[in-house]
Amino acid sequence: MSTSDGTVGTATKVVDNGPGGRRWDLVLMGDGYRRGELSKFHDDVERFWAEVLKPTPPFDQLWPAINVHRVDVTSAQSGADMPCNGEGPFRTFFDASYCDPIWGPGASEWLLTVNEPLAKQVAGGAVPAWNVAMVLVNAEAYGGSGAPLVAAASAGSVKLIGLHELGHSAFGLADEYDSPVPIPTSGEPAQPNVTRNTDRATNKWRDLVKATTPMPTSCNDGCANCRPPTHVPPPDVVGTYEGALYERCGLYRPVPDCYMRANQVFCPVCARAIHRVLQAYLP
Amino acid sequence: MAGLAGEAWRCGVDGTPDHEPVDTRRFPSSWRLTFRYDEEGTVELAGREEVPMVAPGSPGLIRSDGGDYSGSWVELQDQQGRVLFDYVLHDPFRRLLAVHYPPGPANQVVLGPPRRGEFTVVVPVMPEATTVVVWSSPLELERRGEAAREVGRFPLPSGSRGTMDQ
Repeated sequence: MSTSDGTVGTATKVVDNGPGGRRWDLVLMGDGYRRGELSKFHDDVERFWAEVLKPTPPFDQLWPAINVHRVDVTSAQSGADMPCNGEGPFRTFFDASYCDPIWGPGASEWLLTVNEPLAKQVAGGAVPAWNVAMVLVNAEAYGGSGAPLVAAASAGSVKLIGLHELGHSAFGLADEYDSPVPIPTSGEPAQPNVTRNTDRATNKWRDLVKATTPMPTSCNDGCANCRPPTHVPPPDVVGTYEGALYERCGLYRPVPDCYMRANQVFCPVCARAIHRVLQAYLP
Repeated sequence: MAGLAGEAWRCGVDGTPDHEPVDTRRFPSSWRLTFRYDEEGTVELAGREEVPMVAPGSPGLIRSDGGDYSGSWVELQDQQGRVLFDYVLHDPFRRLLAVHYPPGPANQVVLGPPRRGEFTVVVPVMPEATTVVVWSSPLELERRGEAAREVGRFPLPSGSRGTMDQ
């Protein structure tokens, strides 16, 4: 439940593509790993960067821009709290918790959060030029959170959660899914991957839209203000597909699916945003 | 509505030949800025550290010239109020509890209670930048989509070497 429930150990640069401060320095820390589980933490870190991050476009092409650091943080107990199911509290260094009541009664059992100020403090102490900090939580249940700090359960869901939450935390990307309970948005979102604007002359990703792609590219049933296209475009072309940023109607995403919506590769618009952030770190 | 009228739209961005992104490699050091906020959304600059690191590039310049956009971002301005650099942020005030769960029955999005918190941004130390400005749409559910307004404006010293003040 506090820093007395664990220790901060050594930091190791597990991917060294250049000097700190001149590369994008990702810091991976663990929570809910006991001292005897550090080898599992090391394996989870390796799995994340080698099997999840590095092979995923556009990170595969941008990999020379990225350093990865591992900070060995141990906890007195394993796992993470899940107060909505009566599990815990467990004594972990960063207080990882699903459905933490600090987020209100709506916090779900999939919302996994940690003590963010403490995590940033530890990341900064270990890697002064850190860019993004991520806490891998030694837990099985699906869960995670992002912005400003990424937390993700280290079980099988880490790929989906980790990439999606990095999209938020590091690259300013918006959620591209809609919501059963719409969150109204009237203006043009500032995020690069969602828009209200289906005008091909002024849309914010217009240079990626082919002249033959209808705009809007798809409309959801019952959305009165979207004029359906007269022809169906080829699959996965960049356009404006209705349904994004928690609204079924009136907001558009660049492709049908993407890590920011579900479980497909980052779309060209998201990939470009990631590239814009990371290109400053390429050798 | 087939689309919003182009003339009414200040289009943000990317790929437009008249607005190239800032190459942050030109600036060898960066400000790591920590902003603290309270339940009302009042923002203060709680920490400013000059770090010898290259700042991340902007994911998509939004050419923030007056609140046409919703959401949140920070921007660096010069003495004349010109925007030199901006960086869009995803829900820095942590009000929206959006849970991404494509393997499950549905995503969940709920509005959390007002709370205190902080967020950190790394921006380049640009010699011309005199001010950092925080923009945000209102935090209430029914007003979240409104155009962002300025919620914080803080002077920046001319950066030269590592400093830390909290």
